[in-house]
Amino acid sequence: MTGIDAADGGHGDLGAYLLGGLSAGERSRFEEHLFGCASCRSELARLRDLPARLGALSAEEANQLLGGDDPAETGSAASAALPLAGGTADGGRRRPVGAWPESLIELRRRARRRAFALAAAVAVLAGAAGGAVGYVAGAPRGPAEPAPGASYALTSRHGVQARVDLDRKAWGTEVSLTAAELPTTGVLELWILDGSGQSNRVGSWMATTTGKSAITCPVPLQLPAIERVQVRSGGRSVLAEVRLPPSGAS
Amino acid sequence: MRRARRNGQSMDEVVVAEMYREHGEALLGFVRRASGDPDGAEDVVQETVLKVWQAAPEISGSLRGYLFRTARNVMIDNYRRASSRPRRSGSVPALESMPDAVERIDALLTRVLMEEALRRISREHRDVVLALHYNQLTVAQAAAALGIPAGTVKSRAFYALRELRSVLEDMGVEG
Ligand SMILES: [Zn+2]
Repeated sequence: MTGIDAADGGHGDLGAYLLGGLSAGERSRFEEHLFGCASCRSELARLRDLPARLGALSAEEANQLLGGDDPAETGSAASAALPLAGGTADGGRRRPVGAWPESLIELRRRARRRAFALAAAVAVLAGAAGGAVGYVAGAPRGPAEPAPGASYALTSRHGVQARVDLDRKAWGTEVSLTAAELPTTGVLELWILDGSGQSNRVGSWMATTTGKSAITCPVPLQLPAIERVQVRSGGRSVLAEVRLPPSGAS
Repeated sequence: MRRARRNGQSMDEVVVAEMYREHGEALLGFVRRASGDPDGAEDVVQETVLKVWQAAPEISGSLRGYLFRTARNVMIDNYRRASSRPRRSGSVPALESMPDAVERIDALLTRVLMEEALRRISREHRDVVLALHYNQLTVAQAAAALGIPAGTVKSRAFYALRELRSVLEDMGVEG
């Protein structure tokens, strides 16, 4: 991208556009620019998941964490700024971190002990499952494990044919949309509504002349927290909507 | 992580000690929050550092990101083991279900990695992300609040996102 400092409405607005800092007028002017600017479109494709990822922190947490003095200089800002999960009843018994480990031999011994314990646990699981593999490394599977994802297909009353796939990921949910009979001009957006009534735009892209689009957006919400997935036009009217069943029934 | 040789002290010891000095505190914070078990946190951190050191992987990106992800796996292994073992009744509070534990730990990992990424971008970029995204200021409001021209807010917003992207990539978080 060249000329990032160009005049309003041009390349220079991309960052503010993604971070939600533009007024409605600036927004639509930038979206017009986007339509005719391939370099902004490819830059947008590279950066557009970031606002959703920033959503992993609430505004309050972010201000607490980042608002003060240079947090890079206080290495433990994260642990200091946020309450510990298990309470703070460990006052005084914390060892100075730099003093570890007492000896490498001790560490190795512990590791070996744990490796044996793990092997034994796996054997027990395999036995319980009738010889089947109980757990696959990195992909926990068990009787109580929720479905890995969900898929929905629909034709909306606007005539949009949409298929929405939701995949559980470590960081949240990957939402993929494949759609046809979409508007052929303007900007299209994918919105997620969560159970608390919050709506978030998780992706936007340019309409195609064929009316077909395929897009994948990372959403920093766990699948059960997602209530609706919407396709909206740049003007914000809802073109298609998928309502997910209440959690547990995916 | 490089395994260079240094005279005298064993290089392994140097590497492990360095990992603790550089990352021990942050790792301990993460594990305490994720495991809900302050007493076991130090063990998890030790095991994590040990695993990373034993594997001596060619880590091209952020060691801290790698350590966090390894700690996540150690904690999940611990849960898996604990929930598969018959427990003396009354001695330990009931464990949450395995999927719940994984979900909670992963959600926290996502957050911790994002916190880490935000800490690593420049102050100027961070301020603009905070103003526009988190505090929902317009460009004009952010310009006034930060005492810089609106055009600077816009260009910093763009370069902040670019820096964030490359920091996240460096930490092994895919786009
Ligand atoms: Zn452009």
